[in-house]
Amino acid sequence: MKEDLINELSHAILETIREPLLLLDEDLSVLLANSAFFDSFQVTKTDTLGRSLFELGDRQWDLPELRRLLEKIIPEKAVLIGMEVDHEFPGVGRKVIRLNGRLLKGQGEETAKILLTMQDVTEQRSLEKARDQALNARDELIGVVSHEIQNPLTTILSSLDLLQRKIPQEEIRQRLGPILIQIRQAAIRMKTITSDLLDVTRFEAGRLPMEPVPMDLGPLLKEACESYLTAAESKGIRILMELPSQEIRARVDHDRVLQVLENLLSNAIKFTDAGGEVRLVLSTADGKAQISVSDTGCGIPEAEREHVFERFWQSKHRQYLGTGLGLYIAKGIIEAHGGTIRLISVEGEGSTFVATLPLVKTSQATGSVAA
Amino acid sequence: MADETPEAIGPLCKSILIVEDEPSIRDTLQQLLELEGYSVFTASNGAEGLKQLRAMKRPCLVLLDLLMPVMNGMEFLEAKSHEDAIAAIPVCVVSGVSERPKMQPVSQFIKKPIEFDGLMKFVRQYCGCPVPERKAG
Repeated sequence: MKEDLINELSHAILETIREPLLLLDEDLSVLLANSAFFDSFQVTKTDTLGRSLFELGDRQWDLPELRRLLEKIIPEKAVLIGMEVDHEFPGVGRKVIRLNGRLLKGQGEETAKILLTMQDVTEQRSLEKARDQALNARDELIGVVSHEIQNPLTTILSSLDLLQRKIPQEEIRQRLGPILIQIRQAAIRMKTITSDLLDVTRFEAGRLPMEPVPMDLGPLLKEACESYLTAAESKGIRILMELPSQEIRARVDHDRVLQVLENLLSNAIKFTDAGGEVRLVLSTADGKAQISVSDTGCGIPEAEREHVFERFWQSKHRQYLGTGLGLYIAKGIIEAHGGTIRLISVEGEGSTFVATLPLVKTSQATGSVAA
Repeated sequence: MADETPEAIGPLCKSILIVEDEPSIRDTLQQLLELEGYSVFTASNGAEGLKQLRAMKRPCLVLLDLLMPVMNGMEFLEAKSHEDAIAAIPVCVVSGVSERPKMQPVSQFIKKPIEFDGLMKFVRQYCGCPVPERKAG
């Protein structure tokens, strides 16, 4: 191809590109600029060509960091990726410009050049800022509402306790019993909803606090079981626990992993009919601690299985409404511990949730609180 | 505020101080704990709580809310830790805050909304069973 044809093509390409673009020489002076550059920054060829990049406009590119990065491109064949300059450009207004630069050197050419592209990301950044502000406002609102709801819920729950204790006659107590239980269950459901909402908000913002310490998982399983014994018994369900004789230690945040176990247990009890059983097993498999929670409930249809850990997933059994956040949070907590959680289910026979957690070796077992 | 002065409480009686600004919670908890047989003192903020604590016979437990006007729960804990006479009195923080606050080892944390049976576990842990004479409430 003839040289003038190549030049013509290069020129046509440069002029077609809508992104401002500069070609700089070794001294970082402007050899070439495309029309998009002149249009975007409202400058002329005289203002631009032959001048040092750092003298352009009101010296908006004269930044020590940009200078350092550009000066490395030719000697070190470095690239400049995504440096952003937020500036009030004369006659144009405030813009956020994302700079990318690379070496341009043709075969046999003695002098190297730098191609510098300037992407206008002003709108993108302003949308991101608006999105972040909206998300923060949402998080703050959920936080405040969840927190403020705790006081009235505490009043409702403790007033119920008080009411039950103050009803003198057994007969009235028995007649009112079911109503009081209904109120209590509604209040406890509100408690779950608010704490799930709060957890999910903090989890997604990366602010769910966790302080993992090495511990034996056995007592943790026992603790989770104990809180559900009454619920299981009253529904006619047996809870069986299988713990190994030796300790199985993992580095976990006690409250958070307990929360996961309680969530799995409460689901298992919820979806199992009277006469069924819920089995909680602690073991090791493939060098990891493994906790499984199985039930003999209705199971989860195949089409739904891949969705159970998704946000707001609800079982099709509409009588068991929850927030649809419990398993999503559980997965987040287990994964934050470096573990995994999965579901094995056979429709009509039951479901098993299997969580794995990295084991703590004995030498590590006496360590202090992890970050 | 307390219904009874510290002097009115017999020497055998186990007492609990509730520091909580929400009157409905303060009152129901007071009544519930009194029904369980404890004598209960109340304060509606940290400053009142400190004043009570200095004046009363040593209680077996303080139930402390965190977000309160005048003096909040954390300030109460800080001030209490500097007074030898009351520093060692156990505190159970009962709060709706979403994160467990960093506290001295003397304290426990229960997240609101509380259920009374859960709270009683802590109360029994620190106070044991109340004296039988007061069981009638």
